[in-house]
Amino acid sequence: MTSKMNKNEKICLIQENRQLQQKLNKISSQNMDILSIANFLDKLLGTKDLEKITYMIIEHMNELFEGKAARFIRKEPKKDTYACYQMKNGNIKKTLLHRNHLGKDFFFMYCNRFYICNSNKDTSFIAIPIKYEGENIGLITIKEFNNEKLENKNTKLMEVYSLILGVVIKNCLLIGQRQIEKKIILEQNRKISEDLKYAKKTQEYLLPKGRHDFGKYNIYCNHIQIQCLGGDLYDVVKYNDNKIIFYIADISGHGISASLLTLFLKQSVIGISKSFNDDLISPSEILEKLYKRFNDFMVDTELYIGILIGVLDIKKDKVTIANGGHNVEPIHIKTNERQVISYNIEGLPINSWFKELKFTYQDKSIFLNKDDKLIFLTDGATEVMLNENEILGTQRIEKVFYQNMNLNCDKQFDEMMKYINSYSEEASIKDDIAFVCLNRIN
Amino acid sequence: MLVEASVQENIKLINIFGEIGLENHSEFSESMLRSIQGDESIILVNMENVTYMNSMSLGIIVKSYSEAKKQNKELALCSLQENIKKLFVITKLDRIIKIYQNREEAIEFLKIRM
Repeated sequence: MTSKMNKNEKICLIQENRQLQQKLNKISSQNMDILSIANFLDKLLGTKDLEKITYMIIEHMNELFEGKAARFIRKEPKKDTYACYQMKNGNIKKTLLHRNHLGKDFFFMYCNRFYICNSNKDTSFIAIPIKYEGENIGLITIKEFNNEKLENKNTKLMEVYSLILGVVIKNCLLIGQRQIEKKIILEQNRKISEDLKYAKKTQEYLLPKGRHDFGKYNIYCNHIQIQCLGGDLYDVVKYNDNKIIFYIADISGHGISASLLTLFLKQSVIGISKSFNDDLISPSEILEKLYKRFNDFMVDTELYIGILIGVLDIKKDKVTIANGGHNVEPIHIKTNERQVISYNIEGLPINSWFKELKFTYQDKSIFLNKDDKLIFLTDGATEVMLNENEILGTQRIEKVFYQNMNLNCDKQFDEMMKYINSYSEEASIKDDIAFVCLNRIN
Repeated sequence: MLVEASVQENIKLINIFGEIGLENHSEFSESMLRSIQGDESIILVNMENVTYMNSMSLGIIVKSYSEAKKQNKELALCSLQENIKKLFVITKLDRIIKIYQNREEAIEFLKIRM
């Protein structure tokens, strides 16, 4: 009895052993698969190139299932474009497809889970859709695979592959997209830089440097451009044989908007000056008309014009000035009296701030004696920072003019710039500098 | 440049520190427009610690002033450095936007208006 029991037990034990052996083989195979995934992942993580990663994936997956052919289609960084890799006899061929041309062959890409068809050996295939957070990234298809290779596989591993490959490819796609965007931005920047170069040249044409002679007077203009496109502007317009219109302006802001406003200003002042009757022209009226024109089209409250405009009456040796919010006072060098003074002339900038506000601009008359100079500056000169808390200011500039009062306007400009640059170690010029100097020579 | 907002005696106090120039123009604009939001009907911009302000920033102050007006709020300035005050005087903006000598004086006057 004992012997018989032992025999039965033996049979049971052998069967159990066999089953255990089978389970062990399966576990061992699955462990190998996990190790294989880990090694594969390690390689993938060490590569950032999308093309290389794609090759690695198609080769690895084909090897895993011993397929006769493999195909991997995945998104490209470029919108609506897919790359299709066909692997046959160890060779990989790549083609690019538009999303509309994917066709029914890629149906499984839109499935949520992998799909195995092994009813017929010749037509068998495994389709593994690659997804990232619901987004269809790609599809791997292994054709005529070795069915035995599938037997011991934990099907969950297929899902793991799908998840991991989704993350890896999505990362590469994002990097690729950033590179495309970066390329576009760089190209746009290059084009803008080219445009800005032309705009800068045009603006330099609007700011002619040099001297204009009008009988016993001359007007010298110069400027230092710190910004690529600045908001400083000056102009000298001959109104008639006796009267000269001149102005200096600073448009709040820089760049294209400020630069375009300089064009508006230049054209407007010329246009407005033509609307006056002969000798009856006043700077305050020019400003009032300019204010109206500005408000006809400008809605941006941050953009405004600070302008100091003057009319020189050659016969009367009189300069009439009105201020439209220009923040640097005109400086009068009274050479024969050995005196330098500045004039506080107030006025609202040319702006679109207060639609209902009623106001007028005021004219201020200044008479010029022989050798007198009247200098107009923009705040780039006076607002040079000397230290953290102190700016250069008008008074220091006045002193420079006083010390050099016998020099011509061009030399006065040079001396002023020398003085400003003498602070260059500590100070920094923050803004463009424009300079207009009116000189009565006899 | 730093813009710091707090509430003192039901007045929104905006303290500005540093230089306001081209490099922080957008930041200043955004900070000012954000700071004037809130329930307080009076906003006091303390410019005691503003060492430099370019002409562009003047537009931002006016924009903030106009925005406050639209919301039926009053915006005033205080403690302006001489060079900055000059900018407001020469552009006649000192006749439109109320400017106080210092914070204490401003709060004393503004409290009465509440």
